[in-house]
Amino acid sequence: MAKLSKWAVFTRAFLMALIAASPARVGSQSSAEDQVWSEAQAANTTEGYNTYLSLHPDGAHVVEAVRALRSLGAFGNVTPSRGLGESMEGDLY
Amino acid sequence: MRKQLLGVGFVAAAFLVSGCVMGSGTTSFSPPRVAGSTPIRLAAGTDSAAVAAQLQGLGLTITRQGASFVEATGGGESKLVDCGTLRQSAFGNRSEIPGTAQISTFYTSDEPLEIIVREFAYRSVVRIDIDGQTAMLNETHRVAARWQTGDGQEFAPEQHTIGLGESVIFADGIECATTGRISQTLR
Repeated sequence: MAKLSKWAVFTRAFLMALIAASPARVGSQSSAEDQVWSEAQAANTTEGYNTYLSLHPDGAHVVEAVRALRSLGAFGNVTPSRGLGESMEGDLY
Repeated sequence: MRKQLLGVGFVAAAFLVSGCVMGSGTTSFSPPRVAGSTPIRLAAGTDSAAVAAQLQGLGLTITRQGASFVEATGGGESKLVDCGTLRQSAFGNRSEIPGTAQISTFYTSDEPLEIIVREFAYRSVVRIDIDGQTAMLNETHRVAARWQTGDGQEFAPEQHTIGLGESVIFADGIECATTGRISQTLR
C-alpha cells in the first residue's frame, strides 16, 4: 500500500512537472479555445458559435461550429454539399 | 451547386485581401516573402545521407537517394510553403489566421450572416543534387484550395504549382510562396 502511495505521489509530481514544462502559450491558447468552445456548445446559439469562430477562425472545432450554425438556421436553407473538413490530400495530383 | 469564385453576385472574390468592410469588422492580408533560389554551400563532409537526415528532420519522407542526390516528399507539416497571414476583425474579436491553415472561416457579412469556409492543402516534392560542397535545390509544391459558403454553396477549387522564387495568388487573394526553409536548414 505504501509502495502504491509513493508511486501515486511520484506519478502526480511527474505529471505536474510535465505540464509545467509544456510550452505555456500553446497550452493556454488551447485551453482558452476549449473554454470558448464549451461555452458556445452550452449556449447553443448563433452568438455563441460566432464568438468561437471570430476568436478561433482556424480552430479545432471549426467544422462543428459551422455545422451547428447550419443546424440553427443561421444561413437560411443550406444547399447539400460535400462534407467539410474532409482530407484534401486526395485532391492533389 | 458550384460557382466560380469570381462570379457575379459573390462579394468575396478578393474578400480576404481587400480590407473589405463588413457590418462588424474587416479582413486584411499580409503576403508571404518569396524565397529565391541559389546554390547552397554545404558544410564540409556533408554527404547525401546527412542531407537526407536533415530533410527527414523537416518532416519530409525520403523517396529516392543516391550518392549525389536526395529526393523527398512531404505535406503541410514540413512548413515549406508560406501563404501569408490574414487578420480578421469580426463581432468585436480580432484574430490572425495563417494562409496555410487547413481549414479556416471568414465572415463576409454579419447581417445576413455569411461566412466562407476555406480549406487548403499542399504537397511538396524536393530534389537536392550534391556536387562536392555545393547543393542545387529543386522544390515543387502543389497547392490547393477550395471554398464553401455557410449555406453550402461551393466555389470552383483551385490547384497551382509553385517552385523556388515563385508565388501564386488564389482567387480569394491569398498568395503562397516557398518559405526557403530547406535552404536555411542545409546552409
